[in-house]
Amino acid sequence: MTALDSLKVQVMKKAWAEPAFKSQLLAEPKKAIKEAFGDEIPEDVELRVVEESKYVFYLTLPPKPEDVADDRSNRNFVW
Amino acid sequence: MNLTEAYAKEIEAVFAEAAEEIGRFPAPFDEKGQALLEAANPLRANAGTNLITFLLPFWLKESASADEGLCKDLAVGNVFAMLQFFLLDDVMDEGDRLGRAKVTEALVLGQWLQDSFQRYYGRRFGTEAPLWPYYREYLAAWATAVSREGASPADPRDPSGLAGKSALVKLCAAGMLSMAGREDRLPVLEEALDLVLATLQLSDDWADWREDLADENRNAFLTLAREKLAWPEGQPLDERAVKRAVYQADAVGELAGIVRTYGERLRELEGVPGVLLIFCDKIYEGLRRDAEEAEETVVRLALGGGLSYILSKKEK
Repeated sequence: MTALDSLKVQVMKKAWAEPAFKSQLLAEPKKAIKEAFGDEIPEDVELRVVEESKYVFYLTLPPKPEDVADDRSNRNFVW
Repeated sequence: MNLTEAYAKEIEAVFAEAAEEIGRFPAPFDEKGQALLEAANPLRANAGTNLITFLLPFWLKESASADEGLCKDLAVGNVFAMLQFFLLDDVMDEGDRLGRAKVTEALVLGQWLQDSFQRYYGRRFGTEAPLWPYYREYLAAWATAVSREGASPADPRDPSGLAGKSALVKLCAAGMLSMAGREDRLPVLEEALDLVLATLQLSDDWADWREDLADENRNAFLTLAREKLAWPEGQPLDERAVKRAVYQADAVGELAGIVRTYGERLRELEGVPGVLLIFCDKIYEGLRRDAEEAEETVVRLALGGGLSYILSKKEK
């Protein structure tokens, strides 16, 4: 699991266990994460939190790769 | 096999001799020439260079039953020609931006390099040698290729078209085979070299597509991107569209596939030095890795979501 994945798991566990943290996370996600875990989400990122239930789920559509990815070439021979 | 390491001794010797010759140019062309040479030396860190130009004579040594001295002389001659064409390319591509002084400097240094190329090849091939008609033939191919560049879209599936600008690389092959009385082998070797040079050009086009957006027709990878996107004719591509071709339409995978067909054709040809196959395979592997990385990015985004992706990029 990456460091990021384990942060996500910690956030979710804390939100499940502590209603006060969950409320803060839903209202001000970046602040809640910073105060609880010390991790800073970059300023240019806006974070929103949604809660699934037993019968309501979210399928999040990520941004298109062409909008967020940089391609890098492994080229090793040049002119 | 790391080709630069495997041929380090030859590269060292060739560049040392070229440096000595350039050191005899009148000032300031001695220093400027040596700086240009240094920047092209693959043994120096961060040097972007063209191994095939100065290693090809060594790669053909066995097939042409040549001695080390001949290989070295032609390799050194090729270095001068390579540098001269670098300068010419710069002037052709950026002449208006460079300004008169820089253009003059480039063209004058180019003349000195051309003179050195002629002297080195001239030591081995007299005025009546069969080499020189081949020189004119390859020069004509280069001239046609550069004059027509951009007139119509570069075709990624046309190896001789892609290799046109580098036709003069084949000169040492013509020379070595004619000297060995094996000119009969030249057509096969020319086809092999076209496939290798075409492979290099495609790799170059993939790496440089952003710079070529202003002049799409010059870049065969952009032709492929248009094809994969079914992009309307007459409408210029933009960066986002090309990235979409990369991430959503497997444009790099397609490019790797074309390069693989060139490698397959190369393997069908008889008597092609093994190192040429290795050279092409390495380029193919690089393209495959790029295609796989693009797919991994897509999967990561789809599975992990945007937040994980953005944060993982910032961590790097």
